[in-house]
Amino acid sequence: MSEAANAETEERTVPRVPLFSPGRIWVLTMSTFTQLVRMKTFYFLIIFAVLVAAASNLNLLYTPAQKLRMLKDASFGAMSIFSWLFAIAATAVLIPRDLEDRTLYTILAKPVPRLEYLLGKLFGVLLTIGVALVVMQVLFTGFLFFREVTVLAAERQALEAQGGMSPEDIQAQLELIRAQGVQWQLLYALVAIFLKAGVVAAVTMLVSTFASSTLFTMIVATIIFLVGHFHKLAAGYWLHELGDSLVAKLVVKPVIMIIPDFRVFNVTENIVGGTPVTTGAMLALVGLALLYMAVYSAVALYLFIDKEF
Amino acid sequence: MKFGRTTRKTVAVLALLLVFGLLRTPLESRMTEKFVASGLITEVSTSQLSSAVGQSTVLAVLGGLRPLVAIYLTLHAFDAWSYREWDTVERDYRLITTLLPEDIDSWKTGAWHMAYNASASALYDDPDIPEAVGKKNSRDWILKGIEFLKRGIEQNPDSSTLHQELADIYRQKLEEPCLAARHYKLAMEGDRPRSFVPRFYGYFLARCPGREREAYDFLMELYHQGEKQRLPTLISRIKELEEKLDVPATHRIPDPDPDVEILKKYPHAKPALP
Amino acid sequence: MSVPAVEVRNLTKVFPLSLKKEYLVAVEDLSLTVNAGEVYGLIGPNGSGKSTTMKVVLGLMAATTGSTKVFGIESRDVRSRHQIGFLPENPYFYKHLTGFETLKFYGRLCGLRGRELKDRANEMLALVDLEVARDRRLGGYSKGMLQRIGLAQAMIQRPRLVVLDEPTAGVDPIGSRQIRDLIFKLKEDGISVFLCSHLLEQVQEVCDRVGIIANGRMWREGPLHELIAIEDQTELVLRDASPALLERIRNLVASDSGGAELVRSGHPRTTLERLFLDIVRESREAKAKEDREKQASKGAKK
Ligand SMILES: Nc1ncnc2c1ncn2[C@@H]1O[C@H](COP(=O)(O)OP(=O)(O)OP(=O)(O)O)[C@@H](O)[C@H]1O
Ligand SMILES: [Mg+2]
Repeated sequence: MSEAANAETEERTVPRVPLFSPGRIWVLTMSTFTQLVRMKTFYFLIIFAVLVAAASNLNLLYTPAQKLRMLKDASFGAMSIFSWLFAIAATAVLIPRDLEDRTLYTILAKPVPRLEYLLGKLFGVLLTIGVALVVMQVLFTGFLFFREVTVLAAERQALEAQGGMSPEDIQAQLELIRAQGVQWQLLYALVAIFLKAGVVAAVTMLVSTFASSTLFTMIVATIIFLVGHFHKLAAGYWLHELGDSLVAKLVVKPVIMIIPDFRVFNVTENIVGGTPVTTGAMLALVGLALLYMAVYSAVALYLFIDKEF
Repeated sequence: MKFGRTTRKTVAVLALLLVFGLLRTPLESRMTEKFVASGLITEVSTSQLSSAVGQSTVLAVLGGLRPLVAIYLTLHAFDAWSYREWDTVERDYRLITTLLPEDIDSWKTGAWHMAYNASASALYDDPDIPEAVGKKNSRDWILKGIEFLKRGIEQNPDSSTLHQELADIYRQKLEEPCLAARHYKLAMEGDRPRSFVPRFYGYFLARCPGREREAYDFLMELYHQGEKQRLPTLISRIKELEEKLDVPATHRIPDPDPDVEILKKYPHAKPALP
Repeated sequence: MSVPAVEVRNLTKVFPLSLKKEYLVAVEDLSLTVNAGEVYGLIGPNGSGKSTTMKVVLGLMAATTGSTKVFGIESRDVRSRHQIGFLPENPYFYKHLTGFETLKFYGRLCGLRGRELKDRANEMLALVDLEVARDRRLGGYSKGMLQRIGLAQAMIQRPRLVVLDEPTAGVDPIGSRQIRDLIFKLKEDGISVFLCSHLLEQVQEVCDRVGIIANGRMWREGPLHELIAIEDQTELVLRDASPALLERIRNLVASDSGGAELVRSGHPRTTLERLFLDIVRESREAKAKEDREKQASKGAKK
């Protein structure tokens, strides 16, 4: 064999495949996104639109600010239900389905490290949730803006007709209503919803790497999700009841430590209600969510890396 | 014997998660405390809730759907209102304000239902109830409304609106000028008071026995602030006090010019012929 | 000599069964080599460990003991996969993708992009004769079409080794002919092929070398012509032989002083099939014997 040929075989023997490639993760992310979209996920948006339209036409005899707040609460409530439900269901379905369809074989038989596969799935779910949330936010902001304008006009008219109010009084009154209208701050609420969904998706992915079925994954993830909202509250009670017993030390305390604490992510409710939020608080929340996602993905990888199919 | 791969991995994963939990818990607790302090998270007392609503509703509340539950209760209360089931309305508003303690409008609406709607209904709706009983029930509802507003004020001590509502109830439903004046005063000191609140404070202080002098001084201060404050009620109230306090004629305010007054009332009217 | 495409050394794969301390030895001390440019066929009955061996080679499973290499790179190493195209048995792909999108997806995973990717995908579609179904979703593909898109997917990044797990399972004769022709084409292009099947005729047609595996063990391995030639035997194939004639031949053989014996008579079968069946019978007997011995030793312990 000539030297040139030798060099060539040598080169081909150890092909230059990057061990970590954002490009491949992106391919997997987009494929997951396409898959979820073609599963008709976004039909939910129609339901959402109907719901927001209904909520914005709810004309109870309440103050204008209350009407706006109700529209906001209903919309953000629907958005957060959608996002965590979707995070659990989609993540739980994706990996087992790849396994059942043997798509996983063909993907992992390509030069795809398993970490990239997991990240691709996670990011795909997150991208879908993100896009859905942005669309919902746009829809909702449209409705809220329209509602705000109508309500403000009606209120101004009513206040002027009522008489006995100085222009400043009227202005202050309208300001209170505007505070419940379209505000930049609502975007922070959206971010908080997204972060919580991200953590939920990471938890679900971790569960699905050791679970034996989709159903099991969904149930366990849902339980973790629910328990993660009150275990720290309940802990005080349990530990008080159990005292310093062995059960408390060996069972309750570790379980409480292992299950994620979702309470911090409930800032959405009050941000929507108008409580001002600092950038610092938001950054802390983003940091915490990223930490959760990183650790859970790492643990999921640890389980997945030598899993056999 | 040697442990299987699965067992080994399970133990390792639990240990990893436990370590992560131990590391993050102090961080999370601090964040939660900060968020609660800055009003970003509302801690709802679940023991109170779970007796009133079902367990699943409590879960929804804890799971981040607190406002949705509040909306449901608001609709429920609305329904109860239309059937005049005042006990239900009361219960719903107590829950709503537990869920959204910072929502001024809910405190206001709940108190309004109790002190005005329910109290009126107790008086007039059921002809079979003896008048004396009706009166007592009506008064009870007013007192409930007051107690409710006071709880709201405890949660939102700076709210001008809630103090003003409370003052309104004392003024309209119980005819207690002294208490009304006290809360108008607190409303003045709260955030963003309406412009009429100081005048109302003066008006009802004037009716509070023993505080006429104080009221007179306050109303005169308003009077000297200029034309904007010189409304007919203000002028007549000052005149009443001038009589009561025997203010010397030289210090009394001039009588309003009837022509000017008429014009104020009907700006489009032609001036009277000379 | 150049690096072998696949090198399996003393591979053993044990599956734990349920929670009880029972084990299933799917592959036992198996060694085989697929030389570069060669078509190698692994044949064996159902459950003999063919797919398991392939999965270990592909890094989808870890070997319990032993090693597997692809072009000299350990199967555990992701980089070994760059050279491999794999078609699993009964493949399904993302139903929501069209044929073209599927190929683009796998191409992208291998680092192909843009014009090159598009051209390659189209080329592959043409190769497996699926141009008409290019823009149809895979949900509507027939079994044979799925098998063909699977082949196209396996070859998208021009791998030097193609691993095919029962490429013709469930494919009609015309389809399996096409697949066979494709394998010939791969061979012409110098691509190594590692396939497994229990359709002996096909293996016989396309493979340079075969390994016969049963109960997880390699029983015979070598070039096809060597395997099926039995040096000390001679075959007489007669047509329209009467029972009387056969009886006479039998007697003649029996009376032969050179020690010749009649091994078997009957209707002829393709030779590989015969070998295969013999080995399967042999392996079953060996296993039965083993089991009996185990049983006996258990009983003795008690
Ligand atoms: N993941 C697994 N867990 C437990 N046992 C397994 C697993 N995979 C395969 N086996 C067992 O290993 C043995 C070999 O299986 P394998 O799939 O390799 O056979 P095969 O030769 O491909 O058979 P076929 O021709 O039916 O495809 C079988 O007894 C099978 O039950
Ligand atoms: Mg098989």
